Formats: sequence, structure tokens, C-alpha cells
Amino acid sequence: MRDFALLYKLELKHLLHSVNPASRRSSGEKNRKRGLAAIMIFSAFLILFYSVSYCVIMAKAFIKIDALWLLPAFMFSLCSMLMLFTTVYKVKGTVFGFDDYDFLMALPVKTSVLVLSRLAVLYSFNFTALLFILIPAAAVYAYYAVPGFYFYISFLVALPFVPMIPIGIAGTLGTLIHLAASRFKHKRAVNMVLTLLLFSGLIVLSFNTNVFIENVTEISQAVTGVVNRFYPPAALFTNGVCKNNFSALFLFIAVSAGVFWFFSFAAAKKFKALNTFLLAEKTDSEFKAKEIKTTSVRLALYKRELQRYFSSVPYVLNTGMGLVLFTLSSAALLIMGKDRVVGYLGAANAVEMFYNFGPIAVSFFVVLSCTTASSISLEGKNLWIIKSLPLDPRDVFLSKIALNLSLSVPAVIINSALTALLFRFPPKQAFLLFALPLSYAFLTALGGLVLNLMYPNFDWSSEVTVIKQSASVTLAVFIGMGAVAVPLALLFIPLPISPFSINCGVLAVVSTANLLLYRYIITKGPKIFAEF
Amino acid sequence: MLKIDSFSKTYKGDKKAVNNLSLQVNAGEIFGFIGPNGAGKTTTIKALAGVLDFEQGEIYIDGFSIKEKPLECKKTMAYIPDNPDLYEYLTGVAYLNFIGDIFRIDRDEREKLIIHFADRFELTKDLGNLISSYSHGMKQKLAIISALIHSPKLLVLDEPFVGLDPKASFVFKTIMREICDTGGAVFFSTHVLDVAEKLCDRVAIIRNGELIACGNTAEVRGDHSLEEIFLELTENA
Repeated sequence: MRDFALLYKLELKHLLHSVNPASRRSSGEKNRKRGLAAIMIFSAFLILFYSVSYCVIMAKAFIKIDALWLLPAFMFSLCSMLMLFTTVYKVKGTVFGFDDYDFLMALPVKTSVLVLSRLAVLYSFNFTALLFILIPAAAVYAYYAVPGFYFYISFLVALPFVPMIPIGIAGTLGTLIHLAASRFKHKRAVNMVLTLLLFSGLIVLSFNTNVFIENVTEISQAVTGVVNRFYPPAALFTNGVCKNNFSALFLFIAVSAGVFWFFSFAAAKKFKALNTFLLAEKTDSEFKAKEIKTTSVRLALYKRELQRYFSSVPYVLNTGMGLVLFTLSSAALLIMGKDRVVGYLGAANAVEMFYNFGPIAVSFFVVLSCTTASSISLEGKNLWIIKSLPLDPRDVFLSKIALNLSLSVPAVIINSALTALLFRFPPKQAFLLFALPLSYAFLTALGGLVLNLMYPNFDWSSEVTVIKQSASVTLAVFIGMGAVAVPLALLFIPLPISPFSINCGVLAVVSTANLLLYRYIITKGPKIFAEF
Repeated sequence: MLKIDSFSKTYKGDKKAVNNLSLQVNAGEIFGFIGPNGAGKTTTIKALAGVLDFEQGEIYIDGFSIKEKPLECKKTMAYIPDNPDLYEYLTGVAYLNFIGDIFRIDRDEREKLIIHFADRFELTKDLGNLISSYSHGMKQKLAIISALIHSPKLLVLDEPFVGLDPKASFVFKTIMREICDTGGAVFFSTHVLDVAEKLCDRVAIIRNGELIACGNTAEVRGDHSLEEIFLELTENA
């Protein structure tokens, strides 16, 4: 138990350090940390606000079909799927194939204790995240349903077991994907394709649920069927917590604990073998002189960024999912067609709404795709290379911005072009459909880089910590979402200004912000970089 | 070739890592920088390689200030840290191509130099593999090859022999001498005093961030071994 506590604390400190590392810059360190703490607290409140608002909207919708108990079921499923998504690519780096494996395995500690300590850290992060979703869901449900004492007790008893099934499933899937990919020469590419296929499959499954609802008359039963089919343990959780069914509650706890125990047991049993297998690299590539090629400095830096990007599955998935969702959404719109989409929206001015909200709505996907926010931190122990080479730091920054833009700009152009053509956007709105997401693409790339210059972390043992949990990435996501949410809210509020003018105003503000950020990177960036 | 003038470096918490260090390395010299752990060797080396920012003093490489003209300085030198962490996602040859592109080495010259040095360090057959598959010694060899392919005038090395096998060590010592014979210079830190004694034209001993001895190797050691002098100086200073 002592060993477990020591290892758990060590890894937890490591991960928390990656969120708020000690800066190497001496000036304004206290202010920097205070500012970060304030933004983090604000972000936490913002998530709670979003979560409560979403639950209230959902609750009102479920009350209309007399099925309020679907709220916890729906939020439970959503939360579990989110945990499953985010844990699949955390498996390598936390449970297997982490950088301090040699050091930890050399310690006189049981392998099972080591595995449990790693899983406990994974559990802790997932549990903290679920509190932001399930507590608001339970609170909103309790407010509207006024349930008995049993609900509160059973909810609190069931809550700690919620992350167990997603971790068990994601752990198994993640390990299987890594094992399958390891057999190939280009194992990272195979790994990426398999994970993307898994995620796309789950997304397509969720799209299919809408078709299912449309074809039945009894909506409440249909939604129940969808939720349960989408994530079967939701039925046990809902029956156990909301419908006073003690057997269902007991079964949910038993299944959750069982899945988690089985994965822990299997991981501990095969820990050394799996790590040896996953850490091994193929070494049979024959060197040929034709591989010696020349290119310009800027292109060499850009190629380095591309190779770095595609060498990391978590990096691609964490920053590419927004664009994948963007493309899948565009494809779904194309398949459904204009009339059906307008029919779904239901409102009399549905077409107008589509033209007005479209440019901002697609920008939401763009701000989720920020590669620059972790790009400087990812230099890690390799930082000495670019610092000792005769390179202008501005060229290094530009290569990082170029990578971000080369992912988001083509996605915007292709998807916006298809949407504009299919929905016959008027010229003015079509211009905004391209210009606004493109300006957000620049904002995301430039803003992410500035945030990473302000909050770098080079002392990491697993790249997942900087890609997913670092301060700069967290801030980039929240600021980006805020930058889209504010104009979206302005479009909803009845104002004496046309939506087109609001969109133009947003374009002007975002473009100005881009110019200021670019100026900051070019003038202040090199000085900050020299201090690292 | 290298001039360090009143260089001082203070880290956070007012810890002075190096205090008022001055020394000079001339063209044609192999210069050994010796000191116990935590003496300030790596701090000095990182500062003169342009990796570490500093406020007090000046460092000149081939007449250029590392503060004022960092790019000019870096074009003329090569730096290898004590633990060369390289881009593990690249193959050996891709890494050398990257370095070649930064130093604008043309295709034919690049091929000639890569194959020449890779053959000498017996790494040619492994250049097509990912760096992540390399051992510590192989990474060290690749870092050395990447430092040599742009024909630097000054080599700055932090513990360069750690991880190298005896043959690679011998080859590297030969190359260091070849660089000096053609008008270049080598500045390196080491704990291996036998190597410093046999290889270096001049040595400097640093303790607690301050220079306590500097001069021709023969003058510094006198009638004793460098090891005896080092122990005496670092214990008594």
C-alpha cells in the first residue's frame, strides 16, 4: 500500500507539474502563476456553467416527452463515451510505453502495484472530469424530478464506479490497437488509422441514432432504446439510480468493478511482455545514398514539424478530431441535402439562420484544431538542437504556425466550398463562410503559439501530458471556444444590427487580434525563446 | 577562436553557477575544461553554445559576440551536449539531412561527408533506421557526425566520450586533432583526466563557478599527474 501511494503521488505530481510547470523565466513568475490560476478557476466555472445550461435545456426537452429520467441516462452515456474517447490514446504513455519505464521497473516494487498506480492516475483524471458533467446532471434532475432519499445515496454510491468500464474498454482497445500496429513497419501510421477508424465508427453510430428516432412514433421509448444501445450500462445506471432498482445498482457496480479488475489483472500479468514488445523498434531498414536530399531552411523546419506531428498518435487525434468532425458534419449535411436540413431546423426562417450562423458554427471545429499550443513544449529534451543551430527563432515559429494552417485551411476551403455550393449561399454570406473560419484558423494557430510561449513545459516524460493536459493547451481550447461562443450568443440576442453586420464585425475583431498576435510573436517571441 | 570575458551566470534563488570566468581558446588548440560535478562546466558550455541566456560578461566565437550575433557564431561552431537527445521520430539520415539543410550543405558535399564520417564511426548501415531504435552510443555517434558534416571551426563538447566504445573514442580523438591541424579548435569538458592529460594542449580547472587554474597542460600539471593536481586544487581551493 505504501509503495502504491508513493508511486501514485509521484505520477500525480508529474502530471500536475505538466499543467503548471515552474517557468524558466524569472521575471513576473508570481504574476504568471496567479494569472494561470485565475484563468483555470474561471475555466472550471465556465465548464460548470455550460454543463448546467446544457442539462437544463435537455431536462426541458425530456419533460416534454415525460421522460426526465433520461437526463441522467443521457449524460451518463455522454460522459462515458467522452472518457472512452480520451482514454484510448492515453493508454500508451500512462499504462504502457511511458518514458520512465526503465527507472520504475528497476525499483523493488511489485509489477501489479506499479500497474495499479498508473491506472489509479488515469482513474483520478477521468473521475475529476466526470464530476463536471454528472454532478450538474444530477443536480438539474433533482431540481425538476424532486426524487427521494434513495436517489442521492445511490447516485453517490454509483458515482465512483462510472469511470471503470470506460477505462477498462478503452485500455483494452488502446492496447489491442498498439499491438496490431506494432506488427507493421509504419506502426505509428497504422495506429493512427486504426484509432481514427474506431472514433469515426463511434461517431457514425451516434449519427445513426437520429435516423432511429425519426422512424418511430413513441419518442420516449425510442430515446431510451438509443441511449441503451449506444452505451448499454446506461440502462443499469438509470434503473439503479433513478428507478429505485437496487438489483440494477448492484449489477452496475459489479460489472464496473469486474471490467476494471479484469483489465488491471490482464495488464499486470502481461505488463513486462507488452512493454518490451511496444517499446521495440524495427531496425532492418537499409540505408541508401539516395535518401540524402537537400531543401531550404524553412522547408526543412516545416518538414520537421510535419514529421513530428505525424509521429505522435495523441497529437494527431487531439488536434485533428475537430477537423474530422468538421468533415463528417459537412458530409452528413451533403448526404441529408438542403431541404431535409431546413426541415430539421423547423423554424420559418431556417434558411436565413443557416446562412447567418453557418460561418460562426463551422469556426467551432476550427478552434478545436490547435497544434501550436503544445508545439514548443513538445521540443522537450530536444530543445537544445534548435537553440544551438544557426536558426532565427521566427523561422521556427513560422514553421509551427504553417503546420497548424496546413491542416485547418484546406479543411475550411473544401468543406466551405461544398457547403456554399450545395446550399446556394448568397455571395456575401459565402464570403463569410470562407473568411470567418479562415480568420479563426489564424487566430487558433497564432494564439496557441503565444500561449505556449507564455506557458511552456519541457520537463515531461509522456508527450500526452503536454498534448492534452498542459496549461497552454487547456487555455487555447477555452479561449478558442469563448471566441466562438461570444459572437454566436450575439447572433441569438435580438439586436438592432443585421446578422451579416455582426459577422463582419467579428471578422474585423478576429483579424485585428491576428495582426496583434503575429506582431507579438515576431517582436517578443525571439526574446522569450532565448530565455528558455 | 573562443574568448570568454568575465562571464557570470546566476540562476533563480541567487545561486551563482559561474562567477567572473575569463579564458581564451586559440585556433589549433584542444582545450580541456575540467571540474567536479556542479562546478559550472555545463552552464559555461551551454552559454557559449548559445543555448543558455546570460546577462553578465561576453563570449566571442571567431570574433562575433554570442549575444549580439548568435547566428554568425552558431554557423562557425558545433555543439554536442552531455546527453544528446535527438529527434527520435526521424531516421539517422533524415536527421543528418535536417542539419545539412540548416547549414545549407549542397547535395554532393553532404553525401560525401555523411558517408565519410558514418563509415569512420561504423554507423552507415544504421542510418536508415529510426533514431528511437539507437543505443546511447549510436545516438552519440550520430550527434558527432551531425556536428562534423558542416565542417565547424570550433567544436564545443560536453563530456563527449561518455557512451562511445573504445574504437569510436579513438576515431573521435583523431578527428579532433585533424580539426585543430586545419586551423580549428576544440573546447570540451571531461571527467576523464587521463584523456584530458593526453589529448589537450591546454586545460582549465573550474570549481564552484570560479577558474582556479588555466594554462598549457604540461605547465598546469608540472611534475605530477593531472589527476593529482586536480584533486589538490579542488580540495584546497
